[in-house]
Amino acid sequence: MTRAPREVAVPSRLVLAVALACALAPAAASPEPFSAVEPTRVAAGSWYAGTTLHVSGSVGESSQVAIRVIGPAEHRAFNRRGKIGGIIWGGVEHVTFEHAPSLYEVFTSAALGTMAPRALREQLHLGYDTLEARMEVHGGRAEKREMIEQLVRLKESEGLYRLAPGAVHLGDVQQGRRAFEVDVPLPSGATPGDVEVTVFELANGAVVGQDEMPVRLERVGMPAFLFQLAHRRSGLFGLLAVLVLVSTGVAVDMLGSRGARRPHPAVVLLTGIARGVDDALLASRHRPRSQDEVERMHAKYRLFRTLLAVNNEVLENLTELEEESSWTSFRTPRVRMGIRAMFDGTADMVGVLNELTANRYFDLTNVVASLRTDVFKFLEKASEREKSALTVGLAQVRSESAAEVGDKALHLARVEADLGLTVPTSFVVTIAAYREFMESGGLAGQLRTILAPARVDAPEDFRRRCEMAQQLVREAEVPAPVAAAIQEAVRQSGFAATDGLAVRSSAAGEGSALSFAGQFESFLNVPPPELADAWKRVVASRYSQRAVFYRRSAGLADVDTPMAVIVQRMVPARASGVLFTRRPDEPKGQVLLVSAAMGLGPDVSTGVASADQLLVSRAAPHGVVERRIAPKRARLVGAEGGGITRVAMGAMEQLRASITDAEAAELAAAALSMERYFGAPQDVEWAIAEDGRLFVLQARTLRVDKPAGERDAVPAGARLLLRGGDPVRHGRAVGRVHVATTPRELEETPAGALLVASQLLPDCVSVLPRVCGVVVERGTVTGHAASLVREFGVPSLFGVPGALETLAPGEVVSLDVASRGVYQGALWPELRGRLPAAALGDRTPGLPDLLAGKLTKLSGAAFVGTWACQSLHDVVRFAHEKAIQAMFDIGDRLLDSAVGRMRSVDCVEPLEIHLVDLGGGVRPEASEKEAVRPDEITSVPFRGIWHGLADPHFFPWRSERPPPSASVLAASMAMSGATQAGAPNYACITESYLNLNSRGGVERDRVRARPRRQAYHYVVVDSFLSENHNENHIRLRFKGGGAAPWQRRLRAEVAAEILRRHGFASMVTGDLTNGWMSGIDRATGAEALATIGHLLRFLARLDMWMTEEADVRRRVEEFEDAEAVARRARERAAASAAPPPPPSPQSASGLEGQRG
Amino acid sequence: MHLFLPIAQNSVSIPVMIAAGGLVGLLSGLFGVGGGFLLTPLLMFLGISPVVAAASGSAAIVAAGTTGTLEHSRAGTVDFKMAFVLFAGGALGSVAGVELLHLLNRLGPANSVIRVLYVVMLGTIGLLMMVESIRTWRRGIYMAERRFQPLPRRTWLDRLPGRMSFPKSEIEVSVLVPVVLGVLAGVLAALMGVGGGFVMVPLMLYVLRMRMHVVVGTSLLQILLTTMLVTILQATQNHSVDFVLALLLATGSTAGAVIGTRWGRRLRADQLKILLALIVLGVAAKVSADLVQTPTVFLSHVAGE
Repeated sequence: MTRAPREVAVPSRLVLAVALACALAPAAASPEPFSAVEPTRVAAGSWYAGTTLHVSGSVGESSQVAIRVIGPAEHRAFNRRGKIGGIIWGGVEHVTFEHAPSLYEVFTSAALGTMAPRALREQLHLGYDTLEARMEVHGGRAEKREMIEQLVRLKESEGLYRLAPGAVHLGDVQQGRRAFEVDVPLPSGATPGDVEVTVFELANGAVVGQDEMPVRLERVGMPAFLFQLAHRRSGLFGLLAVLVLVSTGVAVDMLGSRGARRPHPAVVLLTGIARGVDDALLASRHRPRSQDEVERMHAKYRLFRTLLAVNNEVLENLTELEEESSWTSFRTPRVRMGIRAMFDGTADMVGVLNELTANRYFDLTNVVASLRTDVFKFLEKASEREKSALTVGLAQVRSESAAEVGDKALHLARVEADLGLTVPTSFVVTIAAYREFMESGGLAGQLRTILAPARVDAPEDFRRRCEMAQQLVREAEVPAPVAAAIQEAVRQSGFAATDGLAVRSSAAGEGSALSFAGQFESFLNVPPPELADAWKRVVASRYSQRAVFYRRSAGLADVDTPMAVIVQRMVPARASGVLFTRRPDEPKGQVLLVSAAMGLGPDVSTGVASADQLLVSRAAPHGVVERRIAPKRARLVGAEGGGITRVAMGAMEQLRASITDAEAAELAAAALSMERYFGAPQDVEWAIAEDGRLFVLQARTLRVDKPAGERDAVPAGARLLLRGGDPVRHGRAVGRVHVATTPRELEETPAGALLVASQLLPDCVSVLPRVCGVVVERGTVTGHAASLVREFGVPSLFGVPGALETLAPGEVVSLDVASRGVYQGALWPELRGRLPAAALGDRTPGLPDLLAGKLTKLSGAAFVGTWACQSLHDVVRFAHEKAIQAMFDIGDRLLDSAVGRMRSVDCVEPLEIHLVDLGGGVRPEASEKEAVRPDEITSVPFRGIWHGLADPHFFPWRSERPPPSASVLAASMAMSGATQAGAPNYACITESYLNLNSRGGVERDRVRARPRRQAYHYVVVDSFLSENHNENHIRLRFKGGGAAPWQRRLRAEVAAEILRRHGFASMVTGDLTNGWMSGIDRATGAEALATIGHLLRFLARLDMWMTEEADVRRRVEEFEDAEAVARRARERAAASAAPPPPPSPQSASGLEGQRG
Repeated sequence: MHLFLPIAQNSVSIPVMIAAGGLVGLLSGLFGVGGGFLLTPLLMFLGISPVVAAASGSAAIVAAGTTGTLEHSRAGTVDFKMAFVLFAGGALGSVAGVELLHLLNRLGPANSVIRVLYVVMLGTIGLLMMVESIRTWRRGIYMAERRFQPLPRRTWLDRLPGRMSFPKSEIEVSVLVPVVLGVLAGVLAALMGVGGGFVMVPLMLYVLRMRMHVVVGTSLLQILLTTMLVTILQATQNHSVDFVLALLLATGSTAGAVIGTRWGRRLRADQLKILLALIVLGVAAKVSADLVQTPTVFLSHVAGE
């Protein structure tokens, strides 16, 4: 008996069983092997797909053969399914099988039952019922046998268990033995390892011979390697798998994306196949069917409507955004939502456009996507910046925080930190606090409601609204965090409860390009507990009439100049005032100008008090060049418990100089150091304390003019009315005198007047844009009013005594600032009524430039191509434009497949128009009719053009009689060789849409004997006219003719010129005329279409008569004459009681009859 | 054309597997779902054992996910921040889900419970999508209704702490919301062996209120990250990732993803939704039929050994 060497893996029970079997039939075992298996080693390489084991041999003539194949035993767990809740079959328990053979196949030469008794089969493990003894089953509540039956069924379904009785074929008897051979399948799912193939020779219910042959199934090559790797180095394997898979993805992506890189030919091939499949599948979807054509147009029209609706919404959104963003920060969720909605809308619009044009503008999607990314990135960054402190000490101000503390505070901080000048202890309530205030409790929204409707030309309402706004702000509650931050800042700055504080504005942008001089209120000597309130009041002063007006006229939005506020310890000033390092009237002079008064200085800067004027030399040691001591009737001091009071001055004190020469020199030195540091002339507010210390309270850059170098250019004969005063702003002005002594009179200043006043308060800002010049009796060049005058560029003289008496109201005078004179009459008539250019900027208010650039700006380049669209607005306009173009060609396909729901307009020849009603274009009662009467057509644009085509009042008589024609339209489009009398015209209509398409004939492609794709269009009119003028457009294309090309070109010129005269834009290319018009209201559009109707009639055959360039002009005039005649006739008809009869075909044919 | 799979220990037809991958890739390109919910049953039907099918299927999705994500990121429709936040939640959720699965398995076979849940969820999502898309379709305007809705109502979701801004998705939401959604998706993924894409897509649309075009790309990236993690975990713990099988599937699915993304652009949004709804409902119907029909074999393989 031969025993195959066995692998250790064979479970001991099996060994026992086999041993037992051998022991029971020792005599029957044949010593020599009677069978063989081929192959004995199976290599499972990459291409292994299972194999067959060829078992062959020979047995005794009365013997039967059983071949048993058993794979390595395994341990498997399964769910046993049972009924749950009476309905569902689900796993009810786990069942574990141990020592279950992974592969079990028995091939026999006869039915098992006939070959061996059950006991023997049990021993030899032949048949499923014998498996029970081999394996253990754990966990199931059901019977073991039943479980095993189930396992067998499962394994059979997987091809791993198999019984094949009778599959072994025994051959004929030869030399007492019968040969047999059989192919036993070894499925690819078999577990690698030792597969035991045993061949039994059975005779008379006993084992006669038994051969055991191991077959080794093992993985080789790649599978073996991977298996090893997966089990031994599983982590590495996992990583490697992920890596390879990711690279596969990347590789496929690279070949999928048509990048600049040149792909490998194989890659090209593969993608080609993929695309081919793709296209083949899609092509069937896109193949047009002619009867669908009307449906298609319908769908297109619906898309077009949708696009128009979205277009409107986006445009409205844009307007709303511009409006909203000038009141609320663009960082607020509301504005963001608005922006988001706009992007959504635009994306939808682009989607519809692509639907309309078969994805022609697909890259527009990317344009929108990248704009979207940019905008939201920007918003994200902006909201990050927003999180800054509510207050900041002046010493902590850094130049990068300018946007948070305002320019004035930054300026002051630099004076203190870099120049070592003394600045009172200060802190800044930042713009973040301001924003918190505005956006908490919806203050910004309320302000918008109040102020947005305010109009400068309704001064009473304007004033009332500004007052309401100020009151609203004053009464609003300071947000708790802001109030807390202010108190904390007071504590940190070491202010005592008894200290007086000065509270001043520091608006963003204040003191830079725009001065806002004196726009905002300041508060002096405020006790710390009332600080929050004072802060609120300073903020409220943003809404004073003059401040609001100033912003309006400077083109600033409410959010553009958010306000920070400086809080300073009051300087107990002995003297204070203002200093200009350059004289505004003489910037090149070597002196600086000091205005000084006793006590606190607000009156000096508002220009009310008379102050000492000192001219101090700019050169060290800064001697006083000139001193004008003004009588100072009072001085300001801090009052007990807050506020300031006016203390009368004794007669002697009034005339005392407020500062000494030494102090003036010290001031000059300090101011000049600032000038050097900032590199520009300075406007400094200063104070000298009782102890003689010098404080810089405020400082900003001084705006100075270039001097007018024409001092003596006044004509010799001019009669001088008045001379004197200080030049504030150089220049000349000619205008009627308007004297204003009361605020009311000031407000009533007419445009173009020369304003004469006793003094000018900063309130004058509302009249400055409309006056040509200003002459003021009192007032200092250093005052706020003067700054404003300079800013608005109004030629002005300040401090001109006797102006009110001398200059009579209503008199025309000439002001020459350079010669400091006012002259009688208009010396420079060309200046009459010319206003100085206001300080208006050209920008979108409220939005930062980036946002404006990405959202609202319209660039002319937009129509070059999708790539040139720079903003959302560009995209919207582009999409709208291209959609109209797409609609323009809508009739093209219809003509190619002239089937569908065609109807004709019921009118006598020669007008023949076939109608396709896409919805609502025809009255419901006429909707079933084959032929529709013109008055049954409700389409507004169609009626418009019909008006023109059939207008009985229009007589396009020309000096020559045009040849009679069967069709007005066809006549105009007849071309040589393809003339078809009465060729039909097609019109697709809806209530508000018209696409009129007409051509005289189809140019045939001779080679392919079918109509050429690019059929000739002679006339195409496409128009949409709805209630919303944003949606409306008219487009016209006119081409062809029967005469020589140069004649047709001349006719095209005529058409283009006529179109231009009627408000169209037009262009001629060869004999093609394009005309377009958009953004018109319905009535205008209908009228323009009527004109087109006239024009089409007028142009009929005109090319035949065009002989020279000069004809163009003549023909245009002819048309205009006929048009005028028609208009007059129409007006007469309208005037004569009855409304004009609707144009009827009869009249049209009557007309033709006249002509014929 | 057969290939022997080393881990699955089976040989499979190459074209069949590529086609299976292609089908799933097509879906992922079209809808942003990983396709795991379709691929695993498909593989089992093709004779791969469930354990290997789940692991290798998710590995294959790595490749398709990469392609899809690249394609989308080029179009600028991937919110990376959101995807990573979701993935953070998802990773937590997967671990929790695996634990939960063990617990359930100890208590008794959780399989049927999970399958019932699965059917309910698939059915609900499918029906909702179907109803919505049919409604928009019938209205004749193919764009989603949310287009010009006014500001969405503030819900308790908006009052949660830890707000974070996702500029790409244009939403600002408490970071807890996406993390919790991620955890949810992770648990589902672990329990049901799906990538979670078809759960995440509606959640992202309706709970996070992200825009459709960002949703698909972001969901793909999230799925990519999740499946990468799952692949490595499966490889180290169960040794059940069949690399060859995954590569075969990947070949098909990446190509499918490219085609799917292209088709997605051409198909209308409501058609897309109806299609996805139909597929989801189909799978739900198949699974529920399996649940109700008397099985021929009462034993079934244990999915998560």
